[in-house]
Amino acid sequence: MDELYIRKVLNGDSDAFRYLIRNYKDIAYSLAISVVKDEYLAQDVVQIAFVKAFTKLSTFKGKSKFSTWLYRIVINEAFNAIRKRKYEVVSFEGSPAFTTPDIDSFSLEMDAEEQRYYINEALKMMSAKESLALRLFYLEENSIDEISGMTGWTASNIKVILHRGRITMKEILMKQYDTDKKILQS
Amino acid sequence: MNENNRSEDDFFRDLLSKSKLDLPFSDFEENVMGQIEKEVLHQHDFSREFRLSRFFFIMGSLFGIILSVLLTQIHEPIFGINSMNLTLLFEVIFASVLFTQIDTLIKFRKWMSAKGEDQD
Repeated sequence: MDELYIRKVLNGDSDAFRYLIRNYKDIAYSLAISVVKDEYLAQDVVQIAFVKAFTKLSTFKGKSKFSTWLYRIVINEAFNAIRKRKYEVVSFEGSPAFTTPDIDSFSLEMDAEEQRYYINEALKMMSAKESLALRLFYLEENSIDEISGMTGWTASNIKVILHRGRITMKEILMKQYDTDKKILQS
Repeated sequence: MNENNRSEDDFFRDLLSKSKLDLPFSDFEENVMGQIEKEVLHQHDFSREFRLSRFFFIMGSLFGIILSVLLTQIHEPIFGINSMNLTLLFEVIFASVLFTQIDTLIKFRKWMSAKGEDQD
């Protein structure tokens, strides 16, 4: 379906680009916010990425999926944005003495909306690379090769980032959950 | 279900599936399309100006070549200046301008290809 709309845009029908925007804006936003950690900056990044994708659409040869090509632009723009604005994204540093408790209680004792809140907060607290890798691998179900194509990272680097990301996420979730539980009990 | 019974990957897949975000700005699509319209207009203007500048470059080059050939045919002094010296002066100026323009054209082409570097 993407090819049809891409061809329409290339033939001069700019309005056909709306289909691609509607289809990919939410995922593009998820990826951008993983890196920049700010709603408004993420919106700017996605906007710039879509305009760039439109102007460079003629260079898309269809060797990879359109989504892979678009996400690469989004990721590049997101890292450019934090570099340009010298954004200091404060990421979570797990304390060495901290041991990961049983995370099952997290899943069992909360409703879906609460879980969603905690998970997104945890992703915000993680480093840009870790949260981006987790979202690309587990949420978008991209392969290591596809992630490598989008980010330019090596396969072994991605595996290390994913491993660290899983540990960090568990730690943040349980730390947040424990803190909130203590506040509620007191 | 106990975590021991499922792989870590399944656990994280399940966890991350709850992190799906929707873009919270309702005017996003219109903003992007507005910028795209501006971009299309800019591209039209840009390509028209580029065509014009290419036309004038070719015309100027042809005119310069014809003029330098014609100047060599004149053997009388022009405005009191020896025609040989005048021809030489004209050719030096013409060559400098021509090479500057060719250099600009090469730089412009490089910039254009750098702009389209996001190949898949």
